[in-house]
Amino acid sequence: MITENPDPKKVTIEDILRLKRAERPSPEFWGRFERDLRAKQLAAIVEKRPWWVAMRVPQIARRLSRFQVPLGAAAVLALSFAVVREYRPLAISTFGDIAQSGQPVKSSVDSTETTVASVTLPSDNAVTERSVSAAATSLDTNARVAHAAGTSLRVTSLDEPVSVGSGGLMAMIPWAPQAVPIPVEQDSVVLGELSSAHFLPVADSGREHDFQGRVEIEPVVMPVRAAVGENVAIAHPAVAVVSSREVRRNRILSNLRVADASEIERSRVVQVRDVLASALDDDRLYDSVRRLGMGGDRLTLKF
Amino acid sequence: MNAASKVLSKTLVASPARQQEAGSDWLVVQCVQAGDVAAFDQLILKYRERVYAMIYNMTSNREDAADLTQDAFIKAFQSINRFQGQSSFFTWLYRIAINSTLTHIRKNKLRSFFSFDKVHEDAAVSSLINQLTDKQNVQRDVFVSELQERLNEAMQKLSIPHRTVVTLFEIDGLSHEEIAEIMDCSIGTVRSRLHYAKQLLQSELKSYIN
Repeated sequence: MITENPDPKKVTIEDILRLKRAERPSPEFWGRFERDLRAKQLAAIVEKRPWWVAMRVPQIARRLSRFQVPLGAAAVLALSFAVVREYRPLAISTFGDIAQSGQPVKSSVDSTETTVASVTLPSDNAVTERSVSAAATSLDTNARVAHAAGTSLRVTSLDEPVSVGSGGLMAMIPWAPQAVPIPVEQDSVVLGELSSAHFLPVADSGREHDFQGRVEIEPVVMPVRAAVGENVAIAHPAVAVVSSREVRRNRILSNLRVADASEIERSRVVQVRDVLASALDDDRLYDSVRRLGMGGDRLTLKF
Repeated sequence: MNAASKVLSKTLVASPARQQEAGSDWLVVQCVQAGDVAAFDQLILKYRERVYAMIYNMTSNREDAADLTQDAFIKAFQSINRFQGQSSFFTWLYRIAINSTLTHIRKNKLRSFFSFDKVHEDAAVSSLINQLTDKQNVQRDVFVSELQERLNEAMQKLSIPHRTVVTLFEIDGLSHEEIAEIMDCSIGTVRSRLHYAKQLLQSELKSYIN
């Protein structure tokens, strides 16, 4: 509020600020002001308003603000459900591809069958990251086979040490000083092996040299569903080149993947079993006809 | 409880004059919201000088003040349907004007120059000028121009919140509560800013103050 000066002879800051209140425009100014305002007002009426203003998004958002917590929770739940439901791992699709491509199915298989996978890198003296990616690309075809057989061998990112798995244990590449062996489950079948002889010596030091210590070939083992006794099995030489980002994801999703893959595999096994069963029945019938003989009034049976 | 009393109960500004003003404004606003666009002219005529004065004292530029005043009324007109009467129309309009002004000042921080309105001398201002000119023994018109320039320079040296508080309190004559509502801060903050701003102005204009 405006304070009056108690001492008329003393000038205060409030008195000086009163001078600002006396600064006023002339009456002509207001005539011009009104004309300009009218023009702007008409322009504002004619002007096309954005769609979010026309839809009154702020008002709607304000009304929904009281429900923001339950709506947010429902949205997160729905999104999570959709992601989990719609997620299809790569292995499933590649398995279908392999199954349709007519890969050979062995008539008999051992429960401890071992598939040896080899990885060959380019033979340049300087092994660069580009060559690593090229090698990874060349292994992509084998990787699909690996998924089909339920076994994968992974070359992870360049940030991890090099180690090679063979059989049930991880073997380390000798020139990888910081390599750490990764234990593998005993009840699984590890089907990958990488020989250090496939890697040519590195000429340069520095970044290329780091490659040696940062490549990890990690066999990720998925249970091979070998139908022993039914003379039916699916076995393919398998190598999967997977980025390091997918290592953990695949490990987490391995159970789901096996569960999904097992259904497809089961149907395939049933088909093969039917074929074999019919073949066996034919042989048995033919054999039984040959062993059966009739002579005079006697029926003979040869063993 | 009718709409006008509902507005009054929600208005923080408690003075009877303001309450009456808020009630009459709310009725006009309802007419505009119902489609009577011409009714908005009443609000323009009623508040244009106060809004202009506030913006002018913030910017110290009459052309900018005119443009910003028009923009404030246009924005208020475009958003009139969103006005629910939770504060007085005067407070709502002031808030729009201040926000537009602050945005303009921040945008043109490096490009500011003065353009003054003429000082209309009433009795109080004339006696003040006489008092100051008697002491310094200078020509009256020259002294007024110089004082106006020094005063606006001192105002522009204040930070934006301090300048806003001084403008609203000392020049527009709003109460602490009204300023707190417009600036969306506490009354204590308003008082603190006002005290600090006056100290700064006194140090800048000490040659004119006894």
